[in-house]
Amino acid sequence: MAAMNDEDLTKLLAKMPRRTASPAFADRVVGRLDEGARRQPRSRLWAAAAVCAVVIGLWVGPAVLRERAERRDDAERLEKMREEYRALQLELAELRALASEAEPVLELGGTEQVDFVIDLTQLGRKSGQARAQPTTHTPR
Amino acid sequence: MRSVDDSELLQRVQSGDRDAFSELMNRHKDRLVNYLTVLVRDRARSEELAQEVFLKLYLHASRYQERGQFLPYLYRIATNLVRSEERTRRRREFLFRAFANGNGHREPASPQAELLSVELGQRLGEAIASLPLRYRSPLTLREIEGWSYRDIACALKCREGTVKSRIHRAREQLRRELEPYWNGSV
Repeated sequence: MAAMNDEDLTKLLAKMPRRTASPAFADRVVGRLDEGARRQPRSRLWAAAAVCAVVIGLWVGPAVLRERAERRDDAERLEKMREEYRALQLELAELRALASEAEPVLELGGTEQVDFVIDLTQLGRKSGQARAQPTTHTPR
Repeated sequence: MRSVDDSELLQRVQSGDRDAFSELMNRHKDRLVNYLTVLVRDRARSEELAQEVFLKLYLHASRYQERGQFLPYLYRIATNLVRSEERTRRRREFLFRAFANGNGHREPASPQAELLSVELGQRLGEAIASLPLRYRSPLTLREIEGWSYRDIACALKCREGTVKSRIHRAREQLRRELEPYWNGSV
């Protein structure tokens, strides 16, 4: 096999077939140019609209997100307050129940056999009487 | 002389003269299509690219600064288009390989098996196409289009020494690849 030298390669390269542009080449370029000129105003309008949309999005987006986060925080805070209120109401109801169960008496002391107490319910009924009626109570 | 005329035409194009643009196009379309065909090795694609080159030339004519270097300017647009297209293609191929889980490596055909059926010219075209663009472009401009080193350097925005060394490396690579098919005559 013969070795390929520089000159051989140069000749080979020079003998490469040459390509030419198709006959419609220039018409196509001019056609694309005309088409581009027709489209340009509309495409510029679209580009401007897209830029505006992006700018508005960038401007409004964070504000909307911030407002949503604030609303969420407010709602959470309100819910906590409601829960606290419900718990307080429950506690109050329990206290009221306890208070209603208690006997309205005043223990005065007593002996092994008897306790001396004043029945406070009697006080309200006999308004005008300054003295409460002592009563007895069996020790527990 | 021709390049001065080209520059004058381009100045008229800058003021929107379509006739001057058509004249420029008719002067250079064939050589540009040939250059691009060698670079991309696809007749239809090279024609499309050449059209894009002229469209860019028309639309950005105002960017051209007159230094009597119209042709290097035109071919720089063309080379940049090819570079950009090849970059996109490589990216696509990389993604395709990544998804297809292949390595994309093609086994070279046996030279002995194909020697008789494939013409040397076809091998030459393939060998040029396989060169990196930084070698392919100066080699084509020098050896096929007959440009001076100075103009090539201007078109590719590099020094003449770089152009010479790239062409030398390109020729070395071509010789290595073509030698198995070389029978001693052109």
